Amino acid sequence: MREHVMSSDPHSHPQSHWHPDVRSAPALAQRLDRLAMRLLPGGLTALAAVLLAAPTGIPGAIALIPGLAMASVFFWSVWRPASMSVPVVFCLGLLLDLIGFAPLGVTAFVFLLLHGTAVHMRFGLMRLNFVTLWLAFTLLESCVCWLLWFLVSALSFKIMPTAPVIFECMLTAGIYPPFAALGNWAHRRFSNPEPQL
Amino acid sequence: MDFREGAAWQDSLPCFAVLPVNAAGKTCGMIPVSIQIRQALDRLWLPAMLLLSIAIMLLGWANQRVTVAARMATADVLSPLWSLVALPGHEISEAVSELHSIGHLAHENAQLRSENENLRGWYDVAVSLTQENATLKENLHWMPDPLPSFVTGRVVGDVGGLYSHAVLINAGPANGVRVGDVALAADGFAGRVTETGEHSARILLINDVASRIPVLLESSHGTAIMAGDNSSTPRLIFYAQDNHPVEGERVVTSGQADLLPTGIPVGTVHYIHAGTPVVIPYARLNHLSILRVFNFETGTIESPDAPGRVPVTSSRSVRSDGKKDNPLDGMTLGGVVETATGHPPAGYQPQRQDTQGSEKPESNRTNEEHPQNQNEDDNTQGDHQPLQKSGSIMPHSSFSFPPAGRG
Repeated sequence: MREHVMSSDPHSHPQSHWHPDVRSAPALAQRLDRLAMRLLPGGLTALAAVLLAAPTGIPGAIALIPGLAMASVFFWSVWRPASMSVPVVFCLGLLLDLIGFAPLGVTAFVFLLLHGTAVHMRFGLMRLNFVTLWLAFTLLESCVCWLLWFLVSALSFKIMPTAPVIFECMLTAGIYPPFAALGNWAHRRFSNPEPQL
Repeated sequence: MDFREGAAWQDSLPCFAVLPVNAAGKTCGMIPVSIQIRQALDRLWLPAMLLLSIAIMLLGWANQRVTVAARMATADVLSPLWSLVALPGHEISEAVSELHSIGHLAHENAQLRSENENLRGWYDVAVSLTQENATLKENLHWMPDPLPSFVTGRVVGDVGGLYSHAVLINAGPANGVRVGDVALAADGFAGRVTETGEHSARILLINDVASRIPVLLESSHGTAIMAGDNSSTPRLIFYAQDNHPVEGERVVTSGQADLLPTGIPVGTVHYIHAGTPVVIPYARLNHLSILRVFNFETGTIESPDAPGRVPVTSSRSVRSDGKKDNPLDGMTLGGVVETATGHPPAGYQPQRQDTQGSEKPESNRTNEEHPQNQNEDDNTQGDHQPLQKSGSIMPHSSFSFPPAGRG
């Protein structure tokens, strides 16, 4: 229903008989909602990373951060790339670099590679059953961990110890199933901001 | 204007929901772009961001100052949040340990009583030794050591990451913390301040891979470098091959690098395998909660410009003994080479003796001997004979703590 607005209304166009605010209000809410949906997984992962960096006394909490972030990036990149877009992945990696005092940009770089690979192989990966997908993730995250190790070693001109890398690979593989269970629930619960083609 | 309104009127769908109907052109935000350009732009995001991250990597590597500033700014923002998160954790762990101790109250009481009796004896020893020490110092016209100023901060963040071991404390330059300051836990040396923000400082722990601390071994009187290797026990390297570290002996810092004061207790020597001595630190590096950051100002004491000092460039002459065993003699900076090879040039020795007296208070920061050290001295009296004869500085000098805030 079109509304005839008073010409005194400062928000309306003088010649228009249509009140833009009435129509754009739900659109704005919808957009905000979709924006929230897009940022929610990345934001929650960043929050978890920040909280885990606090000295909570949880053993291995620091090693948990990159593992959790990798599981998150992979899961959402495969199932809902719109919720884990490239800038979000980049910001997440940069945040981890800043918190973890790794050489700046290294984690962002490897996370972007992980995201790119996951999105590229998305439709193949979605067809796999859970165990195969888990194996694929384990393979990918191992590559990511070793690449990270290589980059950190190269940038600091020092061969870093390899024991933490192996620990990290195993920890990340172990995190994935519970994370995927949680992610699946969220995936069904919250609407998809993805373009419906 | 009509176009803008029309578009908003037509579809309230967000701009990424591109339908084939309006493939010719639509508005997204402000700029109208065709679907082809949109898809191309979407595909460009990943390479662009990858390039950006590589650029950040290289820039951060080339300009460390910007990197440090960015990190410490992040740490400054996050440290209040971290301390908020950590607070209930501390309380819970304290409550749990209290609950634990309730079960062993009787046993603990008996233990404390016997320990108390033991300590009372030590207290008497300490008092008499303190007085003796004070008298001796007065007789010697001992130069009083500069009293270190210290700041106590709570550990608010574990900022180590996978490849490094570091913590963040909630005290910064505003509270007097400077880069290079020494951080001590309740029971020993924990690390050094490497970066500071506004209200926070990052402390590199002694078990980090980048940490190299010159140490002194108390019983064997040897020196070594304590090198972190990301495990909980840093290794001892560069010790003399004819004077190996002894299992169980105390390790303290040596003031050799001019970065640390002498005698801060670090830990004890332990051999994990034959030939690989490590240090078991006194500080519980995995469970640091409160750190004291000391400013010793060791850098401010510089050796005086002695008139007899041999300039590095002028000693390009034949040595006093006439020998010329160094092939680099005469073609390099003689003084540098000779100092490095351990052959002092002519005229160097007397000057060193002259300056030894003035160096003494700096290299030996004895305040009061701990009774515990005294006990060790008694056990290893044989080792003391040559030392006392030569009149050199005793490495047993112990760093005396100001009373700890926490047990």
